[in-house]
Amino acid sequence: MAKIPRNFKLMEELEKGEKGIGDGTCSYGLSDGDDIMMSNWNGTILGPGHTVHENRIYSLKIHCGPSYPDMPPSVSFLSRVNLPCVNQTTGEVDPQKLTCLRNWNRNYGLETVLTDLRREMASPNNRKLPQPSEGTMFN
Amino acid sequence: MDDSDTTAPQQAIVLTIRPSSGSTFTTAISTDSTVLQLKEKLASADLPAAAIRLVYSGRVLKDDDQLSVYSIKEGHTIHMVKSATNRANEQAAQTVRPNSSTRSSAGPDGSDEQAMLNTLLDNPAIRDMMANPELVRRMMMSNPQTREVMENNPEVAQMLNDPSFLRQSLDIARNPKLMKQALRNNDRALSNLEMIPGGFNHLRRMYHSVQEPMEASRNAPEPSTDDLNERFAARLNADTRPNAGAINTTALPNPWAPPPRSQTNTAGPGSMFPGMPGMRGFNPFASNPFAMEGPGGAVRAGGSSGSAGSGAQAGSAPAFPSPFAAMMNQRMGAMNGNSPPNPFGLPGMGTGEGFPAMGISNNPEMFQQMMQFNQMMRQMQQQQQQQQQRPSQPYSQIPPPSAFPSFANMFGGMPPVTDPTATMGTRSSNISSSNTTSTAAATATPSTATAMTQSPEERFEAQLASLRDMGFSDTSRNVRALLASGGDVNSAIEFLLRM
Repeated sequence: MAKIPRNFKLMEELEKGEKGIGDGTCSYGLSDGDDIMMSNWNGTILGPGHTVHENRIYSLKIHCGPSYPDMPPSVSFLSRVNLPCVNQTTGEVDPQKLTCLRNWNRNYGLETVLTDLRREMASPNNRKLPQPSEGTMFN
Repeated sequence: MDDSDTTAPQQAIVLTIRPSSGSTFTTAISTDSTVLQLKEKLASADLPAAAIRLVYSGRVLKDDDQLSVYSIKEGHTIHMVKSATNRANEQAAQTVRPNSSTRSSAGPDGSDEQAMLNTLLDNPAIRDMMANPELVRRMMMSNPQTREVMENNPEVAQMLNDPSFLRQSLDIARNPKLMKQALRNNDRALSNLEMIPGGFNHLRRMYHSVQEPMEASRNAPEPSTDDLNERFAARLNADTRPNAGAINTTALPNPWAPPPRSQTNTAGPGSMFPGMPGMRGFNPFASNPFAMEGPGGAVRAGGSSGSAGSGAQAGSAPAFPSPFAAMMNQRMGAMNGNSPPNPFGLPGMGTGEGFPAMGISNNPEMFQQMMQFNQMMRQMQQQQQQQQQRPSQPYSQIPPPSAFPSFANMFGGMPPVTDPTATMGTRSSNISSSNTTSTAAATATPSTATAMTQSPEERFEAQLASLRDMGFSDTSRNVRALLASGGDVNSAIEFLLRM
């Protein structure tokens, strides 16, 4: 199978993001619509139900480098969140601590990252972690 | 990318709205309208515009922005999320920063009680009142129970008279965080006190002299009436009152047993034992109508172990679908024809009408407890039999009568022994066991062993049923959990939830 070039894949993902993906719990889009490199993205995760994250919306920023999708994107939270895989001072997601980033595969996409993070929030270990109040941001 | 977002004002577009629950729908709106206008359009009776949050392309839409800012185009999807409600607000209040600049749109209804307390305490009139120690003191003194406590404990009185203490406690009451801190400190102080030798006693004294009367002053005191006492006694299955003059030799009531349905006349067992030694031919229980009812009674009446086993089988013939009954059937079957029944083999089981074991099998904890008792009894029996090395004179080894009540008490602790008749059955089989040689012990152990080799599904039938009722439908997992927890439903549930 031919390798899908970076921009084709990102175009595909952009369209998917605008049309709405999956069950609507995650969303993403370009942060700057004029960016022809399509490097910087916004993402949101709606906190999974029956956890401390319920009804919260977490904002993230995602950067897709030039070698995406061969290399995973770098992801960081804008909204404060207490998760083991998130650096508590910068909000960056540690690629070694998130399964999909550690075992990155070029068939993965931004949606994979967001749903994986959401799953992380719902995991039995993290679902009850005390969270900073909603609306606070990483600086 | 194209630049249509900047050049297409006043253009009506159709958007797909995807609520967090429910199905998607479309709505038409002009791109120069603000997000707030869109929210108002989407709002409904149970979802006000203020509670709606819209997410598009990874961004939360801000009320004041025009839709064109986000370059939303025809056919795009906006996620509609219901805003965090009271619950989330409370959670937020409990977490790291209670007073940050979070959205105030969620409404004033945070935690009502706290708010009420706050407004009450912030009321200047109340503040003035609280600042006046004399007034507070008079308020406290107006409650007779409080007054009594204060009179008995000068230190408490001093505390309640101290205005600064009162103000401090009010301040604490106003601030939930401080309140929690204070409660935690209190808990820690108490546990520290408990560690000190004698500390627990001191705490107990404090409880009795201060806390109890305080609490009693809140609830109307419940007088100890005969009627009330009787009800309590009935709950503990203690329905007979010992004679004041005589030595009480009746078995202690079994608080775990289900209440007996009908109270029959109990023959004073104390009167039976003094005559025991040397009364080999004459069996006091043979004349006891209750002893005849259970298989235990049948043992004595029949006098031969073979009939005892069959009697027990006949008695427990109604197949009750409890693991307990199944186990007992098996045990009785194993014993049939070769040995007298294990005295712990639940004589009560046999009584045709009363099936107290049913209650136990429904309650796994009780069942376990009973198994423990059973174990203990077996050990005691073995010890007893070791003492009886001379089978030619069995009755000379019978412990003095005074020892029997204590034995009977032990059996009284067994759940199935619920009514006097069953107690008599135990008693009689107890004696019959002391009549036997150590073969009884030898056979008793393997027979329980066979019970243990039953498949776990049978052994844990009741527990499995209750797990099924709770919605754990995977039987094999349930069995695994029960095996891991040793049959305890609560730990099994914990185990299942952790799996």
